[in-house]
Formats: sequence, C-alpha cells, structure tokens
Amino acid sequence: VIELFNGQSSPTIFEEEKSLGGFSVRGKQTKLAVLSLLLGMTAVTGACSTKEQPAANSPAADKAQSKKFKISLFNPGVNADAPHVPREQDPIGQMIEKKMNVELEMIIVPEQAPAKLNAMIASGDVPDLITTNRNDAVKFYEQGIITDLDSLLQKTPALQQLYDKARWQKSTYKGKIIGIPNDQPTAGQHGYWVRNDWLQKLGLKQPTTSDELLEVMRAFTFKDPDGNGKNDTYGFVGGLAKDGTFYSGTNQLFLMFGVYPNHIDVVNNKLVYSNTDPKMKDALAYMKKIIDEKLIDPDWVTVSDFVKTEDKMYRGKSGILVFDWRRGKEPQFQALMKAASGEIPDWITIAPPKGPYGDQFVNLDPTYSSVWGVSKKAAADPEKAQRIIELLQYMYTDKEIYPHMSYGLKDIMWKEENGKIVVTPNADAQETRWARHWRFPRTSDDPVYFGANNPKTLEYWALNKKYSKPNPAVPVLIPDPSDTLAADRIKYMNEMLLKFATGKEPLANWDTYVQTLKTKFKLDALLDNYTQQLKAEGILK
Amino acid sequence: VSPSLRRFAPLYLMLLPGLIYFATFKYIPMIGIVIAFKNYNFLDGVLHSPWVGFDNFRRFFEGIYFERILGNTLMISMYKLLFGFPAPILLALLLDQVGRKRFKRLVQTFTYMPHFMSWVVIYGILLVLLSPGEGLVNELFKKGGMEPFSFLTEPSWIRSILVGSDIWHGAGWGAIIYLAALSSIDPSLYEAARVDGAPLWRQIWHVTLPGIRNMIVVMLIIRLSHILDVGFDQVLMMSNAMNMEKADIIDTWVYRVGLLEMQFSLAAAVGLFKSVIGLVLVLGANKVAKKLDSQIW
Repeated sequence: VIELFNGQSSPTIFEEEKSLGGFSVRGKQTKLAVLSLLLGMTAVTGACSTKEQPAANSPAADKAQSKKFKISLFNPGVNADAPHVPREQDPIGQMIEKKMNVELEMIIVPEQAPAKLNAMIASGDVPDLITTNRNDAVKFYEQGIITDLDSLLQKTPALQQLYDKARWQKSTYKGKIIGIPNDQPTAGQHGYWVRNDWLQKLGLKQPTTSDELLEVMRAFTFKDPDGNGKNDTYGFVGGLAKDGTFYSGTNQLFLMFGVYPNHIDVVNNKLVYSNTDPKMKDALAYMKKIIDEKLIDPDWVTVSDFVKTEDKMYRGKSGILVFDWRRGKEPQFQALMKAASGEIPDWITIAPPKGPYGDQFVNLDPTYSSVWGVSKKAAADPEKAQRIIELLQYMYTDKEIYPHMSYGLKDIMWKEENGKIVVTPNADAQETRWARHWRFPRTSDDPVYFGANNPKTLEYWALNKKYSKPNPAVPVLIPDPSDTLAADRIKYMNEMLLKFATGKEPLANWDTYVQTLKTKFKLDALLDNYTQQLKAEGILK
Repeated sequence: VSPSLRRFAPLYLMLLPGLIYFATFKYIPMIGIVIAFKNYNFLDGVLHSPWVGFDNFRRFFEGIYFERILGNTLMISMYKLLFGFPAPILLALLLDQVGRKRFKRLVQTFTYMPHFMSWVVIYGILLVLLSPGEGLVNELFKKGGMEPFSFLTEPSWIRSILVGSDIWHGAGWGAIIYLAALSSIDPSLYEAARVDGAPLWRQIWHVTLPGIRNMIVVMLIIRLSHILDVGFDQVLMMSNAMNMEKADIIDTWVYRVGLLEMQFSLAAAVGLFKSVIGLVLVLGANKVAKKLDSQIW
C-alpha cells in the first residue's frame, strides 16, 4: 500500500520470492557457478539452434535484415539482489536478442530502485523500458518521461488481446494507456505459520480468534515449548520496513481488526482511511500487548527485508509468523531449516484468526499495478518504439520463449521429460538466480512455476487465497501531484503508529494524533481528492 | 606576449588540464543551479521550466520538519566535529610515538582498513553486535544477568552510534595526512628540546603540534565547508523509524521529498542553501586563520 504514495520499499510486489535462501553463502561457489553457467550456455544454445525454424507468424521473421536496436530494461523480474551476468553469459537474453534483432541491456538494482531510477532520469539517462507501478507511471507520464502507447499497441494485436479491458483500464490515465502490464502478482502469498509440534507439546488448540492467538503466543513465549529449559523462545516474529511501516507479519495482524497500515478502503459506500479509523486504535492496542509482554522476537525492529524474516523462520525460535506459503513444507526450504537449527519443525498453515469484529483476512487482494513504461526518448524514433513493443509482445506471447524466461536456464533449472516440463531441484540455486530477472512473463496460475513437491503446499496456498481482503480503492487511486505534504505526512503517520504500538506515545493521545493529521498535515484535502477519484471511477456512488 | 608568459609557457600548459577539469566538472554544471528557482520538470527541461522565485526555499524553511532536521543535522555535525575531528590527530600523534616500525605499520593498516568498508557492511556488523535479540553484546548482557537493550532503535543512542562508527570508519584514513605532516618536522628541533630537558609531553606541545598546526587549520577549514553534510549514506543506513526523531537530517529529508517524489527543484534549492552556509563558514574560518598565519589563501 505504501506504493500508493511513492513506491518506496514497496514490499507488496515480488516479495514472494525475493531471495529464496538468504545470501549468506554467496560467493563461495563462484567456480561452480561459472562451470554450471558454461554448461548451461552450451546446453541452451544447443537446444535452440536445433529449433531454429522461424514460425510463420513469428514477429521475428522479417527482423533479420532490419536495423538493430539497443534496448535497456530497468529492474524487471525477481531477485534483484542477484547481479545480472554479462550479455555473453546470458543464454536467455541471447535467444531474445537473436529473435528480435536487438541488443538488450539489463539494469538490475538490488536496493532503493525508485531512487536509483529517479537519479538516472534526472541525469537524462532514461532506460527504454521501465519496470514501475501505476502511481509512478502517472508521475513519469506527467513529467514527460514515458509515452502513451495506444497507437503503438494497435500494431501488436497479440499483446493487446493478451489482457482484458479491465486490466488495460488499470494502466490507463487520462484516457491513454501509459503502461503495459508487467508482472502478474500472486494472490494468497502469505499465511499464518504455526509450529504444530509446539502446539502439541503444550497441549494447545489451533488459535481461531485474536484472543486465542495471543494466548498461544504467551504459551510459546513462557512455557518453554522447545523443552530446553531456557527462556529463549518467542510467540511471534514480524518485521519493520526501513521507512517505519509494519512489515512481514506485523502488518497482517492489523487485518484481524479490518484495518491495515496506510490502507484506503471502501466500506458501505464510504471511504475509510485505516490510519485514522477507530479500529486502528484497537489494532495498535493489540500490537502493544504483544510488544509489552515481550511475545515478539525483539529483533523484529531490525527485520526489514525478506531475507531476515526467512532467516528467523529457519532458526525456528518463534512459533508463529505470517510468511510465504511455500516455506514450511517444501524440501529445499526444510533443508535450510535443518542447516540453521538442526531440526525440521512441523510448521503448519492455519486459517487466519478472527478479529473482534469478525474480520478474518491474511492478505490484501493484489493490486495489479506493476507496469512497463516506455521512455519518451526511445519512442521519439518510431522504428525503435515499434521494436520495443514487438519485443514485449514476443516476450509475453511467444510459446517457445516462455519456459526459458519463466523457468530459467534449460537443463539446469528445468528440463523436458516425456514432453512435459519439470522444474529441477536446482531451480533455486544461488548461482543461477540472476536468470529470474527474466521471469516477468510467467502467469500467476502457471502450474509448473507454482508447482510443489509437497501437496500440503498447494493446500495451504488455496487456504490463504480464501482469506484475501477485497481491495477496491488502492488499485485505482493516484497520488495528487499538488500534495506537497505527502512525504512528510506518511513519515508522521508511520512514526506515530509505531510510537502507539511501542508505547512511546500513549494511546490516550489518539485524538490529538488524528487532529494533527487534519490540521497540520491537511489530511482532509487528501481524502477529498481520493473520494472524488473514487466517484469518477464509479467505486463510490 | 609578455616575457613572463613566454618564459613559463610549459608551466601554464601544465596548468591547463586542471583548469579544463574544474571548468567542465565544477563550473559549467553550476548552471544547473537555476532549477532551484524554477519548478523543474523533465518535459520542459532546465531552460524552459517555469520560474518560481524563492518558492522552493520557502517550502524548505516552512516545512513541518524543518526545525527537527536542521537541529539534528547541526547536532550530529557538532558531535562529529568535536569528537571526530581530533581523533585522527590523536591517532597520528600516538602512532608517531611508536618506535617499532613493524608494529606501527601493522596498527596503521588495521586502523585505516575500515575506510574501505561501505556503510552497508558496517551496519551489518553493528546488527550482529547490537541486535536486541541475538546480538553479541545483548547475549553477553543476558549471560551477565542484565536486561537486553536495543541500541539500534533507541533515539538517545543513535547519535553516539553515528559519531562512534564514523570515527572508527575514518580516523585511520584521516591520520595519514597528519603522519605525513609529522614526518616533515625537522628532527633537530626534537634534539634541541631534549637537550633543554623537555619531557615527552612538552616536546609534543612545543615541537610536534606547532609543526602540524598549519595542516590542522587547513583540514578544519575544509571540514567547516561540509558543516551541513553529516554523511547521508551513513545516516540513511543506520537510522530507522524508531530513532528517526534524533537522526533525521536535511539530506535524508531531501532524499524522501526531493528524490523519491521527483521534486528536483526542491532538492537543488536545499543543496544551494547548504553550499552557501558552507561557503560563508569557509570564508570566516579563513579570516580567523589569517590571524594565525595559516590561512589557505
């Protein structure tokens, strides 16, 4: 939801698979990496040279004689923490380059990508294709950095037909399409993980309400569930993003109360701003209990990224967390648990506990806001603009390139067995993680990509998907360009919510906080603006 | 052509690359300062964006967090000046007294090595040491029966951590220049002092410190020009929502409001403000230094 304001550190996109094993071992296996890369290259290039028969309707058929364009892609795919390999060592990129007669430059930014992108833009070095979200795309469009795409898309019908009207509508601004859908977010990414072995040892039931959840947290903290005689376990572990938003579990707890930090919701035909909703006060009081009673791993304040949460789960010292649906039962992650703690705990996913008002959610519906923006500078050359769109069409619609882009290096990360594609156990290996930068065309219902070794994994995923909170407002709202207080306001709210939760500011001062937001930070003007936008979209009647 | 120009032609020629460098990379980019007085947008560019006068400055000065960020910047800057500036001098003096060459080199290498570490790495080390749950220091606290303490999120600790880690990071590197100055002191002065019966601290006071006085003043003047730069990378890395009230500085605010919100004009205005303050301080400090006869110009 933070992305609504400025896209900074948006933990909602891609977080599902950002770094699957922690980067503690990186660099130790460089030799192996190089070797396997070399093997991979020969394998893949070998494979595609035998398949080199131009299909009749291939967009590449007439590309061979045409002009070669250099096209840069800014930060697509997942695992930006893995540096991209040079072009010569990237067989997937080479396949695309050959087909489309282009030279691709992959720009991968592991941290603070929005800042890096803005810095590039400010220096006039705008990437040709930019991975961004709808809000930033609007900003870029208003500033004349990216171009509208309607006329270009008319020449690529396959790409246009790939998405329905509603989806295109989500990247339309002032009647023009300003972005092409980039990456399909997955619903139900997170679920409540509970250590079943601890529940059984202490003779506890699975928690079904927020109060029961609190009780289980207490038991996990004080009743020595691991039986080592030491007071070294915690009920819960979550995180806190760098900008101060609750993150990686602590945020999902709020959903039990029907609110979510910085969220904008529509309830009974009225706009409801979570940060000033009275229910938020209850949610903060609940958080405060968890923090005051020391039920949460005290490191939560420094758990600011996916890798750190993951690490906490593998160490298994906290009995409950809200995390990725694949982590508990898949063998590759269980191996990491074994390595970190010496045991494989019986993690199970439970349905989210019900809150005092009957709210039962664990995720917000995904926003479908990830888009490709096309640089206006690149589009100044009509031929290049055309090639860029054709390139996207090829990457998103071509059946042959799909497995290479979506699953990675052939015969290393996946292989064909009896005409069926199987993902190998090496798919998550450290040294080939860069190949995931190409994963953006994968569909969110791809059974191979989202396959599981343990049937429980898919069961849990389905369970999480059942408890998605509808998200009617956020995907359509765009920030008000004349709102000069946006950054200061979000900072103030993040800080205050955190102070309420940690007890630095007594909850008795809640009304003063709401009042300050209205007077000093002009919150009402912002909410009026949002209400008008929602009325224009027909979401508010 | 004047005779002196002809005579020193090769020297002037050697000066040329330096002049071209400063013109291209320092003076020509100054034209960009105009965007501080404009509402810059990418579409209209530097030249055609509309003029807004001092609006950007006003927004900065009237900002809700202005007092907080200016106060934090000055406080952190003062602490860094007070504790951080003498640290390399002290280290250089100590190293100077070490007689054993091998040991001296070893210590020197160890003390300047942190200079090559990025703040990301240093923060990683701090996390391992100071994390409230599994950090080494807190593990020791718990072993000793003390309550664990969350150093990294406590507002009252952040400035000490910033200044302390800055000294650790930079003192060894900063000492190099003083060591060079120390080695240029005439050894016969020490001899004379010893003959006169001066003990070690007297030698330091009357020979060593006056010998490097000019260097100290020059370094101080340069340092003053950065009075409002207190290490953006470091603060961005080490501050968090919990300790922000004591750590939020001008640069981190500009990063949030200027860069992330794409308000480049505002960022330029703040940058200009900082440079003007720095310039005033440098001019003033140089004037004072003239009295000590160790001015830069």
